[in-house]
Amino acid sequence: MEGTHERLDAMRILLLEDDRDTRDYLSRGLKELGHRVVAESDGKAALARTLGESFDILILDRMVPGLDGLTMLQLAREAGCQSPAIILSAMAGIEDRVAGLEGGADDYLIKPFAFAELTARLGALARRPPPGDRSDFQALLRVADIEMDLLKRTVRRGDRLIDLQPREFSLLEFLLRNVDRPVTRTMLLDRVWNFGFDPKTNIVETHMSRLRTKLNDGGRDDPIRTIRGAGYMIMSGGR
Amino acid sequence: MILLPRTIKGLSILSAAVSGLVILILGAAAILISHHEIEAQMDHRIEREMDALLDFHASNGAAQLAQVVRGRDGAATGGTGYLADTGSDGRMMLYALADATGRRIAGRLIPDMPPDGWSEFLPIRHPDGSKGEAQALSRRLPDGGQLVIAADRSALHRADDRILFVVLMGLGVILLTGTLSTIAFGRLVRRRLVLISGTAQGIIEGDYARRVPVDGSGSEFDRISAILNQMLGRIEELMSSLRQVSSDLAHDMRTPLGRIRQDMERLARDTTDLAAGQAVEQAIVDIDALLDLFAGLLGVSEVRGFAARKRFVSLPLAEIVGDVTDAYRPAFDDDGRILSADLQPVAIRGDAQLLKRAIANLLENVLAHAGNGAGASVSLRHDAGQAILTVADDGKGVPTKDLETIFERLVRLDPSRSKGGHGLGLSMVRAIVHAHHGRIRAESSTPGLRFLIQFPIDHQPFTGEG
Repeated sequence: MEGTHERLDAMRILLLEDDRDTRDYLSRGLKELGHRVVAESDGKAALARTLGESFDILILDRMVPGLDGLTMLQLAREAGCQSPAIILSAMAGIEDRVAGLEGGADDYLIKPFAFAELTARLGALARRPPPGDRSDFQALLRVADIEMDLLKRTVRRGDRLIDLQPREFSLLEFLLRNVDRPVTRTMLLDRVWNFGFDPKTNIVETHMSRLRTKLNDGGRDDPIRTIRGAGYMIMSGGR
Repeated sequence: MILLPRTIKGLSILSAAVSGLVILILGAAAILISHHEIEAQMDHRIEREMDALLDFHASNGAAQLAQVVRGRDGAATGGTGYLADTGSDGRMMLYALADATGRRIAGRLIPDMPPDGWSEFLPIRHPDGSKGEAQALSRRLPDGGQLVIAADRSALHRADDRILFVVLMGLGVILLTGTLSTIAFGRLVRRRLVLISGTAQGIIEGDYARRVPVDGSGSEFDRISAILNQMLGRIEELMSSLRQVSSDLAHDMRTPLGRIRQDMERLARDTTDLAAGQAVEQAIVDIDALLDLFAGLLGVSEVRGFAARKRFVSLPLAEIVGDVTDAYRPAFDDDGRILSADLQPVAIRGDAQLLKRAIANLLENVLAHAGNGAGASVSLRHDAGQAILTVADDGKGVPTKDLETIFERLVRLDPSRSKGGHGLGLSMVRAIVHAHHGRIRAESSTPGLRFLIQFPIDHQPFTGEG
């Protein structure tokens, strides 16, 4: 599993979680990946930390003593904190998720979650440009011998033009934008299909399978790697 | 059992009809009684007059009587006219006298001599020549002559007419005021009932904050509204505590399960025993399934609570349906099935995520339960203010008796319950459709099963967040 996460840049992470087992598990797991983790179990203490120090990412549980995670985040945002924040909560209702995202969170992950899902989402959040900054927009995405032209809506592998359906195009674009980083099934459902729910049918797998067939036509190496229990990753340097 | 109308309108009409009937009966009785009374009075006067004239005849003889009769029957003398002989009560008396041979010797206003005794409707002539009728008493005189005394009935007819007029006027006034007041009463009652039923409808649709307006008049309606509001307040409290319990339960269940899952994840990562690893991974799958079931149950309740409506915006339904069918088409293709879509653009107010979930559930229902090779066709069209979404398959269908029950929570028609799923998919679909003010019905198509969904169209689409 470590291999899945080795390419994530080291980040300074604030973790607010009152359940000791979960806090220890997450701290240990994130530290194993090379991140520096500051763990707090109380909302007020976490707020003081956030305002006094700089973090690359905030991981916040909602129901914690002192200040609940969402209120803490709102206060931090009002005080000017711009660090990306992901809420981890057992509160799974639609209203809860809406309240979390409207309250300033960038992502909302429902407990229990797979650790790989959390790290994949952290990776995606960490690379998100600051609000209003679109300077990183690239009209041309190039990974290994795959080239995607977002203006002409064309994809080439080597000198071969690949005909992709719109959803397959979006799927590949999302993978290319996250090169060498795992993207999970739920992230793909969320970002590519805008499905805020988990279908029983393997629609991600079937689309991915078609995308692979089209990309690998002619027996080339498969640039997309399946990561068991975590999702997929497009590799910059082959396998 | 007597069938009485139950509506306010029916009761109002019945009450006006009963009042009218009572007035008619009372009026008829008044006419009859007064008619009889006047007739009796007239008979009494005739009898007294007859007695007086018979006495006069006995004392003074027929010639003298003829004089008197001529004098009283003014027209016979060409004198002051018959009005001179009206009685003290204003009613006119007429006379006729014949001798023993039947020859008329006095009184010309009675054309034909009646038989002895009372005549109810004796034809007479008025001095002005017009015809009339009178009630009359005819008596034989001891000398064989005949004396007739009659009272003109026109006064009686006038009295009858006047009473009838008064009764009809009364009836008209009562019917008019009765109708107006029942209309006003009906409106008042209906207005209050509409407020109460509107509130109840709002509550049924999940708006638990709705209350019946109270106008402070202290009327019966105000009192019942206040009691209803107390009841609604109590219901809202109960619903709110139920939601709180669900939320707490979700939290309290997810936290330890989350911990177990973390331990399992760690075990799966650390173990070198292949069999143990597989067992642990299966345990993770089972935990996820349990959480999934729980989330599904809470999700259905949440959608049924209609809180989502607060976020409803105008949506292009065809695009949403198209997105979902596109997402599922490869899954159909891979099984050698066909998924076709024929979508007309139409806007409804709603929540895109919920609608996507509903359509996804219907397509998954086809994939899971319609049988091998069954395809599906999705169509969207608008008709008479409604967006009509149809999801039909050509699979094995559902027995007619189950067409309603498939929407119940945790219902699975497969008795072995061997196929995946919790039987929550279609109850979620129905909850979502109802939250969107829509209706859903399942029907058998030949072959297969068809879901017909109607949503009200949004006629001011895409004008921004609502």
